[in-house]
Amino acid sequence: MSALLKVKDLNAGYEFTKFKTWAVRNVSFELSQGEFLGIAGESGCGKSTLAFGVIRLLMPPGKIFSGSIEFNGIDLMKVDDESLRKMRWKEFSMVFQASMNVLNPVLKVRTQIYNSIKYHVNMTESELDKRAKELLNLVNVSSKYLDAYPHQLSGGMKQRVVIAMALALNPKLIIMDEPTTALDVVVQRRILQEVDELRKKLGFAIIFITHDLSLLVEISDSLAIMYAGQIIEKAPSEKLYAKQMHPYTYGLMHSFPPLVGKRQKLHGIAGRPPDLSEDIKGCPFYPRCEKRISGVCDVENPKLVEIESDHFVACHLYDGK
Amino acid sequence: MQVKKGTNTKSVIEVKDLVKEFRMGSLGRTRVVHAINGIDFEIGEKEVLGLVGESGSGKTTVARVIVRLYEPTSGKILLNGQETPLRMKHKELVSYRKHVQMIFQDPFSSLNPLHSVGYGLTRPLKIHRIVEKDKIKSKVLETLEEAGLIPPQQIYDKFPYELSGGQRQRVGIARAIAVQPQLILADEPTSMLDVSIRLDIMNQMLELKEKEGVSYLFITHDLAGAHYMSDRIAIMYAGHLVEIGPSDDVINDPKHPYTQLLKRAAPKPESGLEPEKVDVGGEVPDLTNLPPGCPFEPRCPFAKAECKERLPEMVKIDDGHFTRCILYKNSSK
Amino acid sequence: MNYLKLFFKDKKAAVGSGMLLFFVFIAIFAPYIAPYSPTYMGFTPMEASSWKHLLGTTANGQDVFSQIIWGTRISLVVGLIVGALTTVISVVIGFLAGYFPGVIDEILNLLTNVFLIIPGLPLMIVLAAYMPSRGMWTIIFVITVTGWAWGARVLRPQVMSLKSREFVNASVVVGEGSFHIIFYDILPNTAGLIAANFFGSAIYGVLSEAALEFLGLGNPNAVSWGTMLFWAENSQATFFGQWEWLLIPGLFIALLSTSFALMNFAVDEITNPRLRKR
Repeated sequence: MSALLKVKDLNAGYEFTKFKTWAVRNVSFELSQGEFLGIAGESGCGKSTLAFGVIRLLMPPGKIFSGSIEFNGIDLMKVDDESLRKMRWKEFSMVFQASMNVLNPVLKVRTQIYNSIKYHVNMTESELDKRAKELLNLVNVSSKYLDAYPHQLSGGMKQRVVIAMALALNPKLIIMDEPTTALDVVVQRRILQEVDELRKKLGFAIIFITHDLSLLVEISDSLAIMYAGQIIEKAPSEKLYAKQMHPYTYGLMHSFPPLVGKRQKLHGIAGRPPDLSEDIKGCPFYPRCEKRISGVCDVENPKLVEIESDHFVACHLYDGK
Repeated sequence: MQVKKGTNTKSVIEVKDLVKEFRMGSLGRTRVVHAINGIDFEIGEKEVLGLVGESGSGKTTVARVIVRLYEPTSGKILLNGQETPLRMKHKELVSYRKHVQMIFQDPFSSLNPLHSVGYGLTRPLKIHRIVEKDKIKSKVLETLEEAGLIPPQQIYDKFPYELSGGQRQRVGIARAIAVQPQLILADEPTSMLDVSIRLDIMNQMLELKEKEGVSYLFITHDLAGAHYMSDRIAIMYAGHLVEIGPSDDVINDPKHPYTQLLKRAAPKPESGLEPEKVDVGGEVPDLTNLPPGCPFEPRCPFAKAECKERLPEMVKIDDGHFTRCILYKNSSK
Repeated sequence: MNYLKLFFKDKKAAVGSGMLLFFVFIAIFAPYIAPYSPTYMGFTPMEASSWKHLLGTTANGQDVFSQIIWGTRISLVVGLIVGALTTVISVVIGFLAGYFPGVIDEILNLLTNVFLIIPGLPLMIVLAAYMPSRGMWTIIFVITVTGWAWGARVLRPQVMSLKSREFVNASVVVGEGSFHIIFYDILPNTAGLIAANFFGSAIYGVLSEAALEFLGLGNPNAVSWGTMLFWAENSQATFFGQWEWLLIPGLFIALLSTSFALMNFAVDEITNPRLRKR
């Protein structure tokens, strides 16, 4: 399958007068048509910057420093603003974090759905109405809510409306940045199920960003783990679940107490992630890594390399394999 | 109905038929939010009771009522077997607060940004006269160390904005244990922290339980976290306690349909990668307009006609394991 | 915290406080800076500026430059006192209303709203016109009475919002009493707002004082920038070419207000980190 999205050596961050934050460091990955890629990482790892950067939504002081982003063969770094605007929402769209707060409280749901379409495509009033009803139907929200205001909807419904708006123009890629974090666990699972069904039906790809690795393992096709601005491991979900190669991934995967089974003492990962406004020498996980090799890991930053079929890891433990 | 634990140790706190209502709105149009609708439970010495529920279940309100941020509407709260008045005067409150403390959910807003860590911890020691004046600073350092902030001298002068989320939460823990309380209400203490540090915070709390002999009411929406931390688990829905029992029993063999739903919906990466389909529809009930019967009835796959009419009684399943569901009416003793 | 350090590092605050210090210096050392007595009427009236009279003379033969120097005292004092008094009143009322819900809040809120609705300048004019004596303290009283409401209105919701913040709840749970919570938990977190309020009120004081005196409601025999404007206008200074007499007091009023405004902006930026340029 040809790649829908090819990101190569992407570097992005935030530029202030006094300092610079290098939030995305040499990130490369590929996404196929209709693939569900999960990007997991903790706060400050750069995943949101990556999400915004990939579809060129970074506003100053955010900036892409270097790298290439190829979407369906088009280099997004070379495209002019007007073409970019035309591509947005039609080719790719985004569901933001805390989406329920993204809905305008003084506009009806209908108006907001119309707006997400009208700005990009010309449609008559009746066409808009039909499409809005279709979209709400897709996300299992009754069309009687078209004329309601956001505060009259529950958290889960608001989230579904936002997802419906992201689907409005049948994009090929939807980026979701922590879309379910603020929702209850039952609602969360239902919405994710619905999103997955929609994906199978309409064929769009998803980049799903979260810190909740346990949920992601169940639903994504492949997983990329981010730490200190870099992708340190990437593999199909079952492979990653079965075997974590990077010590951070291993630690992260074992930070979740199991639901069933015997209660036994586990532990997290001591320490904190590095400050991304500083330069980091060597592997960024070195200070917290139990398997670190001094003289190697603190000197050279390991590159993301394919160790087994489709399983990429950036770690010196696998040098020479 | 009195819900007793299986074992016979003395209880630190006992809650009987607790009710909390909030009146909202102004003249003419008052609505009553029934946040807690008659719950009973006990917590023994050195015991962790996990209180699990989703938003709107009332679990946070339970904590706030027990710690007296809100006044209970009715019911009984017994501390060490002694009934505490529903309305307490300032002196009574201060004495109560030496025994019952709280850890808050948000490490960012639960510390005053303009107070140093040392100052924040000195206050409870002064108010409750835990040690003499000249020993306060060393006691603060000792408490910081017990909460895992090492070396404590480094943290003493810092302000919250200089600390990470995990460190701030440890300060919150230190503040709670400073007065050496018997019971700590932990209101979702890890839900706003990064995943890789949650376990360490939970382990710290468990360590303190052993060392200081403190009990916890551990409030969370995360069933797995509750399982890890708690000796017993109670499940709340729409202000009612729907199931309560030993942690392993409630998780491995949940009886109430809502507990079963929670279990199915929880992330389970370890149980193979077949995502479980959850097809229970509906939303959480409106707390200003609760039906007379079981609040879960509209969403329950096993609902019967009488579930709409009457709230089911608490039924005993096993030693210490109870549930509020008519499906088990006949197994009660 | 190191807010004070941040304040003085900020360019706006530095300029603003520099200007203020300039005026304070002039006010304190007026007797040594002014070449003549401001009220001495023996000079040739309506003279243009010369080395002898740097800004010329008034219609009554007084030295404009000396008047400006001595006039600094009243404008400065009125500005600072009005700033301080209105801030104190608005803090007391805003805090009481915000912290104690129910009847107290209702009454104080009503009082605040009434004073907000009444138009300031007309009320000031009416009050000043009916006060038994004219002079600086009358003016201070009148401006303060009409000017405290805005600060109270702004502080009340801030106090209410802070009261529901988790760290206030945490203090309650730890066992703190209301007194400590109001003064140690909430008040420090409103310090920025209160400081900004002070500077805003000071500007309001300076400008209102000038306005009242310009309208003739001050003591016409006192020497302040406002009364200078009054006399200059009434003597048709510009017609006679004595433009400095009208312009310079106005300029100084503007500069003093600007110094407060600059410090106000600096405080706003410090207390609201989002406004800081990074």
